[in-house]
Amino acid sequence: MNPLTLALIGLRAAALGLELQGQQRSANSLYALADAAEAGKAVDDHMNAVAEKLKDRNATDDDWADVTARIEADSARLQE
Amino acid sequence: MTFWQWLNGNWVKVLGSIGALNSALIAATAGGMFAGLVEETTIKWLAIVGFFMNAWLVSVGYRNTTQEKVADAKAEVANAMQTAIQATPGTPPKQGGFARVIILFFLSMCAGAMCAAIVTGCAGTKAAYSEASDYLPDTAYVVAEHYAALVKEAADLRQQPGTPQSAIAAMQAADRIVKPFILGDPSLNLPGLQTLAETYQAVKDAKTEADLQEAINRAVRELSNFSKAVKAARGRT
Repeated sequence: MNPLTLALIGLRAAALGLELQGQQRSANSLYALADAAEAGKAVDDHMNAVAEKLKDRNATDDDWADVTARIEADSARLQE
Repeated sequence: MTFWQWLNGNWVKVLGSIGALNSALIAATAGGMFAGLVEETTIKWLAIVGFFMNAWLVSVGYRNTTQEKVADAKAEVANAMQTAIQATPGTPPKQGGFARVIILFFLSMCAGAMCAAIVTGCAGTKAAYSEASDYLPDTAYVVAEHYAALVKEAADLRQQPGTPQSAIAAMQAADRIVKPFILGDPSLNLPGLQTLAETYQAVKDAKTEADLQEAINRAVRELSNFSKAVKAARGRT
């Protein structure tokens, strides 16, 4: 299993344990840390999928059209 | 315990047993076991009496069960109230260290995993750039995909209620700078990475290669600033 996935499971489990003990502030800190790590993991997973795709073939016009559409949509969501 | 005390506690069972015996007797009589000994009219009356007796028993048993449930619930509520009254307000319940051991286990597990994750960190991103390193247009595409992944995360962070306004403003500013270097901007006469990659693929000369390489370098520089802004926002959410 990916070490980061293990870390995320561990962080969330520890946060849950602290939450059940009534230590909400410490639990929130661990949840925030897990969220941040998870967000970084999403980018890395995405790039891993890109690497896998490029193993088989070069980028095509369709790939460019797809990535451009995603950028436009998400950039608009960020700037709104 | 006297017989009457026992009967008081078990009278439903006793009546139930009598009812079951009566039903067996009715069934045996109807089946002809006592043929010739009991008249047909008597059998009919026995069946009618047995039916009402069993119906009454079912009713008594049901009421009894309901009463017992209500009594149990009352006792449980009284017990819970007593426990709540006796508990000291504001003091968390004590535990014997059992939960702490589990939490420590999970924390040590995630500390180890975090170390491993840092060591192998950004493995996917490195793999993508490494995979595209042999072919310049693919490198341009990987830069665009990297930006797409980061801008998606930035947009998600933007929509999270806990993200500070200053972090959102920093991401928006960085995005406004990096986007023209990736997608191009006709108003600035700035070609996008895709256009430059296509030009290079069509011509494949030193100039188009240099143009594309330079555009990739610029885009990566700005992308790095955007990535820092997103990471900062991630940490402050």
